[in-house]
Amino acid sequence: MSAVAISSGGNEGELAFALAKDARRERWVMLALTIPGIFVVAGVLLSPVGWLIWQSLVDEGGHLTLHHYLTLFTEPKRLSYLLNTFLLSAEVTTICSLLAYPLAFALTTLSERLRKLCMFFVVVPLLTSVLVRTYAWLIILGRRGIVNNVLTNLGVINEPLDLVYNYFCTVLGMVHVMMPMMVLPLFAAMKSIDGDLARAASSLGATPSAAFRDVFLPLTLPGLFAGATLVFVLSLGYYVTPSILGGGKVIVWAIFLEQTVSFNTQWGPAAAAGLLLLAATVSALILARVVVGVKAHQPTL
Amino acid sequence: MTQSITLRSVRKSYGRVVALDHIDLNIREGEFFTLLGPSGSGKTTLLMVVAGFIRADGGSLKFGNTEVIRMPPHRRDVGVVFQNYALFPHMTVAENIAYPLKLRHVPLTERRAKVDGALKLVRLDGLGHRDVQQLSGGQRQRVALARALVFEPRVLLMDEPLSALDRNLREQMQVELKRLHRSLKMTTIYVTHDQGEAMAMSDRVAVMNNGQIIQMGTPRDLYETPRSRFVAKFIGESNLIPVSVAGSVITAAGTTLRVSGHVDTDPSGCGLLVIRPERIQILDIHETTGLNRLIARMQDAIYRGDELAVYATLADGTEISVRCGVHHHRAMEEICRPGQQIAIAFHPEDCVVVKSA
Amino acid sequence: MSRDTEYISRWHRAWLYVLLSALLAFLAAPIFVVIPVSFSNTSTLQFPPQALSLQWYDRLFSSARWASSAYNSLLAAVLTVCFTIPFGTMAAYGLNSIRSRAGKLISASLMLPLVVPLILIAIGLYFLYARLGLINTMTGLVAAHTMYTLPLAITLIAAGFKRFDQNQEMVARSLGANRFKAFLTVTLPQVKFSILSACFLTFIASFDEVVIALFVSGGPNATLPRQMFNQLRNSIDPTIAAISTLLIALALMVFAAMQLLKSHEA
Repeated sequence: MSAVAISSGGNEGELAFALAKDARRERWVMLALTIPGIFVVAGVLLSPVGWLIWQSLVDEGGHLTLHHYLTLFTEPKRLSYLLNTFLLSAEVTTICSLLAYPLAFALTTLSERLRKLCMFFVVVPLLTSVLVRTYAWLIILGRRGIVNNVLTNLGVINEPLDLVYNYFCTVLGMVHVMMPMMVLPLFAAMKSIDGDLARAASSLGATPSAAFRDVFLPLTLPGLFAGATLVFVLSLGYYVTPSILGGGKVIVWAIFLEQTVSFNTQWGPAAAAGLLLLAATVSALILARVVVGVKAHQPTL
Repeated sequence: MTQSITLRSVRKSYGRVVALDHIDLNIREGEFFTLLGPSGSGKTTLLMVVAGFIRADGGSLKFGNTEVIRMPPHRRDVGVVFQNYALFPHMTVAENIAYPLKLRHVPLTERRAKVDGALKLVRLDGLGHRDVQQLSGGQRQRVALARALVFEPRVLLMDEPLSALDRNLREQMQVELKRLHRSLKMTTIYVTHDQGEAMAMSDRVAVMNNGQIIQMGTPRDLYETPRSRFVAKFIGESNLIPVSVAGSVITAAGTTLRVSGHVDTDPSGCGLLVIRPERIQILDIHETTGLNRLIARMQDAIYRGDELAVYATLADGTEISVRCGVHHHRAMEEICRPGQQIAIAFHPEDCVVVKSA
Repeated sequence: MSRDTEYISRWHRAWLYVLLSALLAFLAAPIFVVIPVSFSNTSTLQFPPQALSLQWYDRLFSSARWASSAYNSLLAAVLTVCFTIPFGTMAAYGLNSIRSRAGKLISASLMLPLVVPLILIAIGLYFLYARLGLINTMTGLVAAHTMYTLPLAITLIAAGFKRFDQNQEMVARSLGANRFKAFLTVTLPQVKFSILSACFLTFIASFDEVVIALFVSGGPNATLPRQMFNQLRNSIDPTIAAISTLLIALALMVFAAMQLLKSHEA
């Protein structure tokens, strides 16, 4: 090869190729960094779920069947558990939304220092074990707890009320647990709204409440929706609080799952039930995504 | 429908910081009035007080004959254009503009007509259905303007509306705004830190610093007869030559000078002579002239195509900059060699003396 | 510059703050109610307790079972941090550098544990571990907790990387450091606050974790939450209150640590 040929055309092509190879290698190295994480997730998450999917579709003989799924829907008791779980979750989500919104809004109006103080009361519950939070309600609402003591001392009642181990207490406990998880994203969404928008609305003639209704509220709806979806999905699969505060009377899907596992040697029914829960959760998440994406407003002049 | 704006002794403090120090202003009906100053001067605070977003500590604010200082912003009927536009992201362009009309219960057909009219006014016809996010900066600015004007407010307030735009767009918009003002004749308060912008657009300008109005007047007034060092330095470029005044005799570097403009000095009789770079002529050191004349030593001459920028120093070390127009280039090049002594000359009518402080 | 216009009038503001206080009390007060009960002298859940006593703490500290379960939780939490943080940091760093669709896919996969209900994971692991002989082992528990805490850790650390100016690493490399060294000496010290925050949150998430532990840890390897849960179902005595108080103290410590980190970062 003559020196002329090397210095023109030929070498350029080689360089470009080598550069592309380098770039590719770099990308692979970066991707490789994620492998341990993927490995853990695949191993510890996907295999049990995969296993469950398999178990739910085979009967004792090892043949493929939809029997486990069908029994879920044909037994009225099971259907009622499903329904109750949805209702409970909906109730908890609604109450959380109604309470978290003013709470988050109030936080935005505070000075930096006060806000930090108030955040303490929102974040510390999140860091505290669910068991502690649930147990606290047993103390407050128990037969010899605060509420009953106060009411008895005031002479309002003679006999202590049964406030725990029922549906009401379960809802209360779950709202208590879920609230911080709704407040934080809501607050973040509210914080990100441009302060000038309120002033602009005001200068255009909007009273404070009109500005709130026309500008602030619509802009916080996505954040509210995101928080609500999170709470709803968590409530669907929640186990601890209903288990402790429900006293056996509130059977949510997660409790049903646990009982099925404890009492059955067959894993089929439990697996099917569990996957149904997963399907419900995923559907709710997808639905939420769709609603937010499709949220095109109708122009109203 | 547009009204005059009168401020009497308006004041505002934050703790010990005085943001507005007894401001008095009379803004005439239909006037384009600019508040000019560096950041922290109080100009935006003043605008916010007029808009009603900031509650003044005291003083009076009238639109026409109506006292409005205690009125909340939504009842003042002011159109405000914010620096970052503050368009409602969840509404279309048309919905944004229609909003103030909706609040005033304007019926649908009339509303549509007014929105269309507003869009036409700012040259955005046909873009009503667009989402705010889809617009460029300049377009958003126009929507903000349309929204502020569509309900025919008493006054228009603009807080550095063009500062977020790039240079070319800014100059275009300046022309736009001037055109709009000429056709609508709406009383406007405009806030900016850009003195070129203020000069180009305003009927009158108030230069502010530290919560006070330092000087107020037409752009010409401020440029040709600044009354303080601050204004001289803030508006345009100026040379400040230390002088001492004894009676009617003004001396700088041993030379007697004549000043027909106003003369203001410190108690000690010292002052600064203000002369604009473009008003100075450069003469050969041997030339005689009837104008004011000072000797200077050449530092640098920079050819800029449309002008020759000359830098020289006086005997007392004061730096002088001169702008020579295109007609004198050739001659200047001979005279202006670095290190050479030259004479700078200027007309007594082109200079004023201000206090040193 | 303060602006006085708000969405609500002064009068309404007062009511809003009343509501705010009530809600904050609702959120936080119940937790602190537990503390006095732990000092009660009777075994009933009475509030307020009639007299003070340290008997429950006594019982707690002298119980071998509680001691061992506390130890298990501690060990599991520490081990989880040892896996989650390095894996999470690597993944966050890798994801930060990739822009392609593959990157998005990987990112979504790493967030999957958040989508699947915890009870389902727990049951699945129970089945799987039974098959693999990992039931009631520390290994199984730590593996599960690592998976559980990974999404949160990655999110936090990735946020830290985003705030970091990548150019600094480039500069280091131009000065002669290879990529790994540049990362260690330039990038890491600057994102350490995010990583430390992730450490604290991972620790407490693992320590407090109940559902998976219920199914996967047991016997000699039972965690504290698991023991607590079983106790709560059976006989409720203020020993639980004592443990709870300690857990509250733990939460407060983590909160304080996070605040310290935040103030140092600024």
